[in-house]
Amino acid sequence: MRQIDAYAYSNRISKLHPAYKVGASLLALVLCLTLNRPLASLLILALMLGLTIFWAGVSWRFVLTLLLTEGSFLLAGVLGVAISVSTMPDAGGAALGPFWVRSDAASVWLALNLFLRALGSVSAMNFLALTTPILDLIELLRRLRVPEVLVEVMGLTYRFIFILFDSLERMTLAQEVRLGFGNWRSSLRSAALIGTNLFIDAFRRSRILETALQSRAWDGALRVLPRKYNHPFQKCN
Amino acid sequence: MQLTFIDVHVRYPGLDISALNGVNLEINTGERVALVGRNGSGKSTLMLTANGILRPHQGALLLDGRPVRYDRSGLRELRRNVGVVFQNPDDQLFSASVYQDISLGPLNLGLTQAEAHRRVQEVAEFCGLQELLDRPTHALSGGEKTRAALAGVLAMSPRFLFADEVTNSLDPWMRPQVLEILDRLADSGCAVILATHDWALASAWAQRVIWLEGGSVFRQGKPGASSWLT
Amino acid sequence: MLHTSGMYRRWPVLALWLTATAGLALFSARTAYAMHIMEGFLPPAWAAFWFAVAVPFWVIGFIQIRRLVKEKPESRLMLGLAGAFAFVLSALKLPSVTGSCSHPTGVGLGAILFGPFVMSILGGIVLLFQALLLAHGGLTTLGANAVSMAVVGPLAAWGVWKGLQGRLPEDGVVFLAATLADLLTYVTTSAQLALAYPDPVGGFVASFAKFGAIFAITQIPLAISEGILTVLIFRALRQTAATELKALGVQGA
Ligand SMILES: Nc1ncnc2c1ncn2[C@@H]1O[C@H](COP(=O)(O)OP(=O)(O)OP(=O)(O)O)[C@@H](O)[C@H]1O
Ligand SMILES: [Mg+2]
Repeated sequence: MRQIDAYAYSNRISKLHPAYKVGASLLALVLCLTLNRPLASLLILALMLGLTIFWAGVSWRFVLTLLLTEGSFLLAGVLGVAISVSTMPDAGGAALGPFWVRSDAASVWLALNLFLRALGSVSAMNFLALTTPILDLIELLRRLRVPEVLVEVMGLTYRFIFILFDSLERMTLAQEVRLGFGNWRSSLRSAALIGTNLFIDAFRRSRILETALQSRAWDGALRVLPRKYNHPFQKCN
Repeated sequence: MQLTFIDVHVRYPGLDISALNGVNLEINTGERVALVGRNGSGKSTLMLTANGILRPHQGALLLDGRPVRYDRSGLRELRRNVGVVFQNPDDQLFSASVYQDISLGPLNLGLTQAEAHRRVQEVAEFCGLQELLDRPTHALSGGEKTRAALAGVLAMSPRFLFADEVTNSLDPWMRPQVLEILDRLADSGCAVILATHDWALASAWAQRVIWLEGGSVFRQGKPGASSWLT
Repeated sequence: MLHTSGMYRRWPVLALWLTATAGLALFSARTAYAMHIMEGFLPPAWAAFWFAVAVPFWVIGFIQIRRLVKEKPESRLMLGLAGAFAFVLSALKLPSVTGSCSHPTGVGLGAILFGPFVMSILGGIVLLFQALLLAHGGLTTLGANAVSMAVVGPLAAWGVWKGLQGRLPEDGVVFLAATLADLLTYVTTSAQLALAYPDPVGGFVASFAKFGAIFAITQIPLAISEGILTVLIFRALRQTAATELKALGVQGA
């Protein structure tokens, strides 16, 4: 998580106006889904990987590892498309308990197409995730006139995720040091303890933050300055 | 400018005993003050009171001789002049980006975007944060977070800065840097009040040490000077 | 299609078992997250349909949140922390009864603590961040995932919590709420997949059974673990954080 986030704000095109990057990946997503052809999917996959690795300069190792992880999740879903299951004996199928599992070329093709389409779309989403800081996406939503309250809650959620994650890591370590995750029972108990403390921590923090905001003359709305971006073909700041 | 505590008593809601018990204190702009005292002696409470977060149930807080009014405009006036940096910067940095976090205070004070932007730039330079303005706050080191939290308060150009144990979590390299920022601040005419458990630091850095005990001023003065004994 | 030649019939089955074994090995070796539909998995029409289903719930949630924030400006901090809490909870390692590891969804606990409509918005935000920070789920599938995880799950948990409170011991109600939320989330996702990809022979029903069976391996143990976890957390919160629960307006606190 921290790695994806770190790439998002340290890659070569992180200062580029987010509208371009969002536009590019949404366009790729829509094309991939509507064309729905293996060749188109492969081309988009190659293009998005290329943009991520060569334009944004994200480590190819990281990009491919991420794609592999996502691919393994996809496989399980694709499996459901590729097979048919029935309770009736079937000459072409294989027996699995009381069921007959079978598959044919058409479903396998469908599954393969689906797999490639999803992989292409995933690469477009990864491009966005790895090149665009979440802050910029939130800012973009603000400029698109998404209600201020939602934008604020999103910004706060993003900020607090990392604070609570630090707490989570500290608490997990503390539990592990005390062998808290030994067997099933004790690890469940440890997990519950951590979850509870996390909640209490979150609540306490919201109180302290409120105080801290008040001390800076806060009067309800969280007004901050807009971020500044670069545009292509133009050198600025 | 002067900030004056007259027999200030402060109690946390729901608690019977007072956290501050008759504090009498005068602080002038340009002073370097260290606030010492054991855990629970009331240092943090004093700071929150100075900023108007906590309201004395007895006694009064005066800004330039005038009692602080606890209404909207009165509090805004107080907070424009009195800033607090919290002990843990994560408790204070609410915004995901450093630039935006620093801009909160100036915008709350009603500055225009252009003015606020200029303030942020000035303060970032003052605290050595120029390179970090675009960073998400969670991607900062402890020392950087402390400086960012400090910058967020300085951007409101306070005349009194209360810093709650900000040097505690800093390494021996970062600490002098933060102290140096506080020194420059005091030189520019701001009062700097630093709460600390480090007596050596307090007596070396501060012009005046205030020792709190059980919610009131136990002793104050320059350690070693004759006034210290009184 | 059904009567392809013998040659043709065998290779797909073989290829399939190979992929299936590889896929399942990879799938269960990783600690399984809640069941998100990955990016690109749904055809455009279905993706749009599920967004349309989610929107009314988001609107209600938004209206509630706006009212909350108007009454108490500081509640936006609590909402941000609640969203972050749900996100981080889903990263908590949870032992599953089968011995592998998985992550709770936090759907049941969130609905009990914050109510189902607020959860629909927070859940949507969490899903967006999960897609962008964890590479779980997707953008075009966000509507579908929101319907299962931010609408159906929380509503089920809320319904059980409200409906059975006082009639069963509290532990039992909490367990049922959390487990049922989890199970319904998983059933909804299976249905969404089955609707988009009905079985060529058996149609929706066969397809639903199929997807259900594939994900049952990870999801049923997870639901039980999460039920127990939620009971333990809730019990502890009652003891140590009664005031906080009351501040959130949790019933009976
Ligand atoms: N939020 C609170 N609610 C209730 N009581 C509090 C709260 N914060 C502090 N107190 C009490 O007020 C008294 C003064 O606490 P304060 O935090 O001001 O001490 P301190 O000098 O800052 O201590 P430390 O060195 O540990 O930071 C203590 O008795 C403490 O228990
Ligand atoms: Mg303190």
